[in-house]
Amino acid sequence: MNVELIKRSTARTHLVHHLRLPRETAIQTVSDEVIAEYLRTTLVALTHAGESVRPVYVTSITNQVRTQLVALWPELARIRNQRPSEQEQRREGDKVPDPIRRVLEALSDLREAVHIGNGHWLPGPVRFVDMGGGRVLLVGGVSTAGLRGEFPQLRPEWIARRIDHVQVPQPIREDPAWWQALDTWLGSPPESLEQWTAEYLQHARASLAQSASDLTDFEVYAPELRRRDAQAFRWIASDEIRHPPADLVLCRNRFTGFMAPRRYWFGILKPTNQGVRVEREAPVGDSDVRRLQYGLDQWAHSPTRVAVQPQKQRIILTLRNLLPPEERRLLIAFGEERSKARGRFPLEYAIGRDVYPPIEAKLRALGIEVPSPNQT
Amino acid sequence: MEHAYVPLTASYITPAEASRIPRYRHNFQCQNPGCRKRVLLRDGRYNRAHFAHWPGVVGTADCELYHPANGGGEGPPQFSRPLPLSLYIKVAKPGSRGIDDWQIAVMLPQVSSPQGRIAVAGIAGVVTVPCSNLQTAPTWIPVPLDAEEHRLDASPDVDLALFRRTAEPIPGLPEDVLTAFRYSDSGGRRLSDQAPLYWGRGYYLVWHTDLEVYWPWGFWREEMKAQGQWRCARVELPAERDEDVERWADEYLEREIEHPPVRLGLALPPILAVLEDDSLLIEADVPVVVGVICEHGSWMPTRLHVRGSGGHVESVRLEEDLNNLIRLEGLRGRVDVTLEGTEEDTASLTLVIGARARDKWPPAARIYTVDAEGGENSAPVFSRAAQELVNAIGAKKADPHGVDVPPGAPWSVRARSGRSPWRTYRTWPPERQEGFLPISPGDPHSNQWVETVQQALSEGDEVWLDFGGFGSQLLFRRLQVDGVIRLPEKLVDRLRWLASLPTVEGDQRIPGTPEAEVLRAVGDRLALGPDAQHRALLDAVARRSRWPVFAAPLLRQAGREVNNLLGRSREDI
Repeated sequence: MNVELIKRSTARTHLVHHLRLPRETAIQTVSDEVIAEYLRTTLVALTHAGESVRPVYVTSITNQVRTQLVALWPELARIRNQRPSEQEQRREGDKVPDPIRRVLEALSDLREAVHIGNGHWLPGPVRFVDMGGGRVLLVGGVSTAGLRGEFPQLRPEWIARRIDHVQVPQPIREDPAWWQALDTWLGSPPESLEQWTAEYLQHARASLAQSASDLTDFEVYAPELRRRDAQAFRWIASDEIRHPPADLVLCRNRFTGFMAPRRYWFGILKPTNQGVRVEREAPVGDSDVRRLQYGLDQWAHSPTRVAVQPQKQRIILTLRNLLPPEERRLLIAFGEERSKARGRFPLEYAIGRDVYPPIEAKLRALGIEVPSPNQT
Repeated sequence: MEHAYVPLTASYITPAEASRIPRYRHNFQCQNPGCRKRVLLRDGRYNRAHFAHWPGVVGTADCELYHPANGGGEGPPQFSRPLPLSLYIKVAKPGSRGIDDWQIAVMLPQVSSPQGRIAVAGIAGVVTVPCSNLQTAPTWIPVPLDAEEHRLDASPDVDLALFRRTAEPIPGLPEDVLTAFRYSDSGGRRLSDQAPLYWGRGYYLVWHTDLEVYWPWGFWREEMKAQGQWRCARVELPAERDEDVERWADEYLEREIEHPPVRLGLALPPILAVLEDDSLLIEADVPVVVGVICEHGSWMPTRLHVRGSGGHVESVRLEEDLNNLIRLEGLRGRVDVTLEGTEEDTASLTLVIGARARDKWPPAARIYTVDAEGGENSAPVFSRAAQELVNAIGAKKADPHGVDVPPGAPWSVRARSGRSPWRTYRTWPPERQEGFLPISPGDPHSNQWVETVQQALSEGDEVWLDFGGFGSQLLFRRLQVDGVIRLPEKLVDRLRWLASLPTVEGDQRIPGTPEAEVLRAVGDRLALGPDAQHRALLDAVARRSRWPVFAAPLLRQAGREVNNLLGRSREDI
């Protein structure tokens, strides 16, 4: 038995070697691949600790992973003076995103970790998704090392794992119980954003209720007034509105960081002596807001844009707005986040040229202006 | 129970002491010497911290502290007193309006049930909060700065756990000592009575102007705007121990100051399993690296000891750094890693070196059916195989038999006819469900799912079987149509276009789309009128299994049109 102090760089090299990550994996800053591997292993270890499977609370997972990795990457230490801020994330991006939480959410988008509600998580079952063109995505909450025992040719690509169709063992290839259809894995975004938005507005009109009389301090989504801005800056304060539109507008309470959490609603505004107030309102679910913003952009003929930067084998997409979950899932599965500050705008994704067309189509279906790579 | 036995040190421990030990190090036993069964620390948000027998661990017959009806808790629910809701200080963030502005607020926590309302005496009068507002996030209600208790009034239909907590008065701010709150840019929770302060950490302190406070030297303090008779300051305790500050904390806060705990973490390899006794199972013959993790104000231990299963001990001297990394080689069997020179006996790890078994694979949610011959079939919900089972149910070739769902995983059954809105028949788990129940075929909850599916099938044409992140399936009730249907020209054009798409490499299966199933159903079973060309066209589209990705929306659209057509035709016929 031998015990010795080692340098941090030596320990990091051991880790990258042990996880069989590509040599170019950045070890100066903690990489998403390392966090994803530790999250998967920890999730299985904690949920399978007893005789039966038990869901585990999110902080148990993140604390365990942080305890393991913080000595190697001290920047993962929880900053006690900065609370983990869900509110800030809703405020269009966290200023200091916690890398562990961010990767856990990316694994959830990938359907490898399953949030079952109230902060409890379970690992997702192992399955294959045929992405077309001989490419297969292996999804599941099992570590890459654990999967390699069964599928030696598995290739980690950012936090996703892929394998060629021909490398999947024959019995599994022919067994439909192992396969999830691409459509159901992605989720089914509405085919026509315009129609979906119209139906949503129609439903909201039918469920309008009287508002509190003092609802005067809020923000309104006004893409037609801020055409050049990112969606985060298309919200205008209610006291800036002089002539409110007669129809429904998307509203949210003002974020003060002081008392109230963020809330969204469709409202009918009425002018008052001081400005405007909400006369009637219909609630909007948090999960629908992102898609609604794109729908309203389309209605207002104020589309957002992504920047496209073609490279030899890849295309770099630069986004300044968050995507709805289904479209984001596609980016995670096919791309790799290359943002300068991970999790912060501008978000950059590197995408292989061969898988770019369906992603381009999905972004265009959201009404986003996507320049053709050949034009740029 | 108020104490637990610690076998490692053969001593007793209180909940407050236990809460400072990392949870993975907890190894406590019942305080009753005649029982000594495993107990856990319950220090959640609702009840005062206490120890309770582990759920599923049966206490001995003569253990008067074992109450199985309460999940092995301290006693029947009416005897365990809930914690009152917490007071928070809320501070305007630097850079925002009203910098240095602060308020004291009561936090009403998030609840799952929308029933009921809670009234709080706020600054400008009584504020009534409907629980439906608490479903997505907690809410803070500013309350007057006062030494008096804050009382809440909840309607009887409020979530039971929250109702019990609202019945407990919230102590006001004492006028004779400082009140300490945790620090973050935007404020923090009031520290509980027994909680110590930690060297090197920041706090908000609130006090009455009648209290004359002496501030020790070398102590960072920034006073904020006074609110009437109350004052507030941000402070940061020095990182090094200081007797003057200790005396001050004792006199003005009635609290002790401790060094932030030092933690010992296994950096490499990833843990394979956390075993029953909280030891960590790791793979053999791989590099093992442990990290000694300190924070600002912690006291770095002097040495790290490693004791092998044969009793042999190796040690290494640690450096005065915030983090030390130590490589361990040649480990076999069971290995204890401990730190020397820490104030607490909490920084230790037990590693169990084992051969790498096949990793445990997470379970899937599964659907079970019984076919006409009585044969039982099952498949994971996410899979194409499940799609086939569901299609068989829709075609009345099989009946739903049950589900197998991991503990805590949700399910819901919704149905609709035509393009009408979805109607939810049942969701799982129910709102007031506590704990995580697994569901297996044959048990009552599984039967409940079967009954719900059958009811939904009898009333809707489309049934959506959703299992959250574990997958979902759409079940179509096959329409029994024997009439003649003529395809509209627009649909024929669409089908013609789809049929014209050449098959190329890169095409993929789009079998999960329910619309493809509808097309197939029409192709298989319906008489399509006298136009053989149309029949051939529909047949060609329905039987093709692989498509270019871009065809999926058109395929869906065509399927939907056929579906609508069938709905109308059924009525006509």
